[in-house]
Amino acid sequence: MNTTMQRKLVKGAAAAVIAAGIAMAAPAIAHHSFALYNMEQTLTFTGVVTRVNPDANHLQIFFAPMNDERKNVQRGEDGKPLVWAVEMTGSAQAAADGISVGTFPPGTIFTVGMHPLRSGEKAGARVNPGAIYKCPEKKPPAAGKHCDSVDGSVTIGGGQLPVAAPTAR
Amino acid sequence: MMAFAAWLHATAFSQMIQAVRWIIPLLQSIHIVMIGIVFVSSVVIALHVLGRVRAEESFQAVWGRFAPWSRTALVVMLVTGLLLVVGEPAREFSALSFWLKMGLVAIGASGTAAFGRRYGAAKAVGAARFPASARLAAVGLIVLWGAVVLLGRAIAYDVEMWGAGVLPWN
Amino acid sequence: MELMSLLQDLQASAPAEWMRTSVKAMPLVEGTHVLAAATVFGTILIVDLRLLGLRDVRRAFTRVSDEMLRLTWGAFGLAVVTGALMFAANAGTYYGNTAFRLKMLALLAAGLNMAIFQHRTLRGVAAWDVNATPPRAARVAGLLSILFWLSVIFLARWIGFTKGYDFAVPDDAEINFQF
Repeated sequence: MNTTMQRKLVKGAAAAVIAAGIAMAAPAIAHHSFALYNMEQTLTFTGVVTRVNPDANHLQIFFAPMNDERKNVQRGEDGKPLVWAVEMTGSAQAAADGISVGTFPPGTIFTVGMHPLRSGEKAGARVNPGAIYKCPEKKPPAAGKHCDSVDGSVTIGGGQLPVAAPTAR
Repeated sequence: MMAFAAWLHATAFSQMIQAVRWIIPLLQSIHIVMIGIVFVSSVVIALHVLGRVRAEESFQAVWGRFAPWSRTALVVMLVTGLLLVVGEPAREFSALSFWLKMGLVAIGASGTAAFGRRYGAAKAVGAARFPASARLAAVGLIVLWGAVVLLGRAIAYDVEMWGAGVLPWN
Repeated sequence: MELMSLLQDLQASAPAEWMRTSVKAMPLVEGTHVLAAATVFGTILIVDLRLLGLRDVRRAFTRVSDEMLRLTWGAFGLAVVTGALMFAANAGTYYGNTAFRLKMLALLAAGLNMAIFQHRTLRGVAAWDVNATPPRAARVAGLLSILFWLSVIFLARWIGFTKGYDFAVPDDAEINFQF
């Protein structure tokens, strides 16, 4: 192995370490701080949109996560859908990125990564940078898969889906 | 830069600031109160230089009344600001507004100190004691501290203000 | 309910829509709101410290307050306009937020304190205007003013951390898939 190549390898390794560092501490873009969220934990959901709240500070997408078979949404013991929320930038910036009441109507199947709230409430901050994938209308992914695996899916943010990671501490 | 942020984020002290729900809003509130004192002090000093307030007092008296408050408030502002950075390093370091704000704070603090050194001992009372340059500098300091406040809030909206990935380490 | 439809109308208004759809609207309006609020606090603090007999004791109280309160009112007006824009943008959410309601109460308390001071204590100002230490009622008003305005600022910041979530599924949302 020549020295140029070694140097390249070292550079590559350094870049990987830095990238890992960024991924770890990457700021989801929020206006209040991230103190509310557990930034060490990432959850990845494929779910069905129930409502978009175009809040000017933080747009919120409410959704019902799908079951592992991707046949229907998860339901509680009372038969009602379990609903989660994912928060992100303000409505204007989100619209510029392609996320709005119009582009995420109820029934939209999508996949998103989030840092969950510390409080245990069923909500979190969108992992950003990190892709969101929207499935084609009424075309859920195969069991255990996410929207990025479905032909004709649309991405917001591009790139790979955030990888679900448990608490690292 | 972001690797350093990740390291800082993982320290026990940072984790403590993040974990206790009311710490960050409390620090932010103190931070806002302090910039209020710094900003209004610069406003009163400038209005005096322009001959609009405390015309019966010398500049020395006005400076003696407001400079210590401004200085102390600035120190508390720096301490609370530092704690906010320790609590959420990635949020601050990745924001262009944060770095612009730090630059303006440095200019504002040294500019205010220089103004005090130049005129702080002026005992004269009465109109037209200050050259145009001093009036301009005094007003400039108001604008500068005002910009510090706006940039401070803009840290939370960095993508909205400047677009994504404007800093080389983002 | 009447109030609810009023909030909905407000949220549907053109300025509210502008706040939600213009990318730089929120950071600029919110930044101006903070600057205005900081100015309100800073200028009132100068008046309150004089009321407490802690600073500017060689200047008459009315002289200190006349100079500062013009700035205070200007800044307060700016804070009301920018605050109203922020409220309109997400009226329903703010209305239901406890921190927001408490902030409005703290504002009301600060206003009442000021009104009582104006209509009672300030009437006899000629007797104590130049005194280094104003009467007890004036000192109490000064101290309360500082506390109320500090509360306003903390509660304002607390709103952003407690906005909450409305998880209810709208009736017309079709999510009952069976693939």
